[in-house]
Amino acid sequence: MIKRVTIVILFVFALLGLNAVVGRFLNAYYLQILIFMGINIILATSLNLINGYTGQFNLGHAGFMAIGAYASAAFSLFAQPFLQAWFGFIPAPVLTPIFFLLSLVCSVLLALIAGLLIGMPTLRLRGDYLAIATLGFGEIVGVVINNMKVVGGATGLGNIPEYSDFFWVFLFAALTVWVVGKMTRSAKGKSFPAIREDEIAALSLGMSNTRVKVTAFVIGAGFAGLGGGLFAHFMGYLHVNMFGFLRSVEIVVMVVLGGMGNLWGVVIAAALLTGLSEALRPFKEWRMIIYSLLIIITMMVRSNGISLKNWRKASA
Amino acid sequence: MSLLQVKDCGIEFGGLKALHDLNFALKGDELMGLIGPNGAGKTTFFNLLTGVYQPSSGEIIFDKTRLNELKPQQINRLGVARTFQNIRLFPELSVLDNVLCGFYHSIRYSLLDAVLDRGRFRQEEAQLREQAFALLEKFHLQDSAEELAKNLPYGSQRRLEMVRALATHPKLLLLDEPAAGMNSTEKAELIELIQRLHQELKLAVLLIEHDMGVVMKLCPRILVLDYGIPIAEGSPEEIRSNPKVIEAYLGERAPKL
Repeated sequence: MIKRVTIVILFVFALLGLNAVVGRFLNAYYLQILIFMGINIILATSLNLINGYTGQFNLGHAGFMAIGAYASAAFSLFAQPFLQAWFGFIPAPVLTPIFFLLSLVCSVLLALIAGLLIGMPTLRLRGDYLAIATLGFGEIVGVVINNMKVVGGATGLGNIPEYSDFFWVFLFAALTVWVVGKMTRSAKGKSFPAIREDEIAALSLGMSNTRVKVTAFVIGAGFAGLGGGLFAHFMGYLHVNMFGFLRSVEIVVMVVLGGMGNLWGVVIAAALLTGLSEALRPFKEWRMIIYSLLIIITMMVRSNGISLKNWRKASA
Repeated sequence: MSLLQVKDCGIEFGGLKALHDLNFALKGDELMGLIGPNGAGKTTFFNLLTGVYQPSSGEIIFDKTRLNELKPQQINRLGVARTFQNIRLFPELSVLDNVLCGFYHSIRYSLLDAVLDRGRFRQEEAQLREQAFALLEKFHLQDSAEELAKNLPYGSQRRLEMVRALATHPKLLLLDEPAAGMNSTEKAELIELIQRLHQELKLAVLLIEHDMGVVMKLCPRILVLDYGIPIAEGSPEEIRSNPKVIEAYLGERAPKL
């Protein structure tokens, strides 16, 4: 027990150290790419739990991200000033992280609730139908936010305090990978891939298909909300267009490319694809074509995902 | 007291009676065979017992509980486990993971315990893996524990399906053609295995099988179905000499030339 706590503390300090190094030696542009990588790792890993491990095709992940982003932004913009007046006597270096964490709690909670409400009815659907239903959900979120004057509607929401930095983003990215990894590697968590592989057999072993699917969906949605909250507090400005259908597709591509249900493969794919789309910037109008071609070629050559583990298996 | 009681059980699919007025009882330590020609309703009967279908008439009582309206997962938790005619393993999971899936409803830790890496999680997880290996060893599968289920040879896949079913700690095991696709050595091993299981674990076994050699050797009591209707029930000798069964299923011995 003590040993594990030490490891966690060491990890946090290592991150803090890295944070200082990164902040000093990288310019703002590279730092931004790095942070987007972290956020994408959170999103892709959480979607991996739903799409990859449990095999439930979710095409509305950006919707959950949007809910999380707006929820936490709303907390920071509207609730924080009130709390600030009450707890102003606490020094800012302590208070700010607490506020930030509270705003993230809001984002996770709201995304969890949304996940539960959407998951319960739609997870009865299979395959393509579920994909269409979740796609519809993502669009609805966009329309609703667009018409909510409180959060800026179509003009967007600005002036969000920029709390997210390398430290926070990668701390939560590590947490996401840890949670998904720990769950899916436990005997109980084998129910996720079991449902994906053969639902009838899973039922015959006493697994409740609805329960397993909804669990995966809700946890995945919660982490997407967390990613959204971090994103909001990094950008400082939110607009609905940031969470469109294409954003969902981008996350799906990361999961597929990393290998469905492959923990580290998806983490690597999330980082690589984030970097790749930036690296291709000099090619201007050819950028999206090259990007798409690279994905197509990768899928043709490595249909099980990019990770090394699969590589050995495939060549054996 | 019988473990399983089937009373006037039947099912219709839009006017087609797939099973008709089935009556029988199975004791807690009995090994019974279910035979009959293709389409006689044997697998349909298994699907009724396990909640895949709901009976349209009659009643199924298992261990004092009525199964009629229960879902497959609830019935499994009561202690009915099965294998499938067209093997339904989790192909992309390892052999060990397939077995671990069978432990699902007996696991006491929660996913949160797993995430927090609590002591009770580690302890139980280690126990589960030990139990899984013990089961695999009984079925001579321990050496391929890390292989993917889909890469196992056919006979081993059938045995793995039995292991997985047993992992749910059933009182009644339903085997749907366990010997299908096995060669004669494998069949002999299978007979021995089922007998041993039946004795060691004191569990009731109901098996569908087309291989008469296997059925006659294994089952002291046999039920014969034809067109959804039970036509005979009795010991292997009685069944073998029953004219109805011979006509419907076994066939006449070819006359000597």
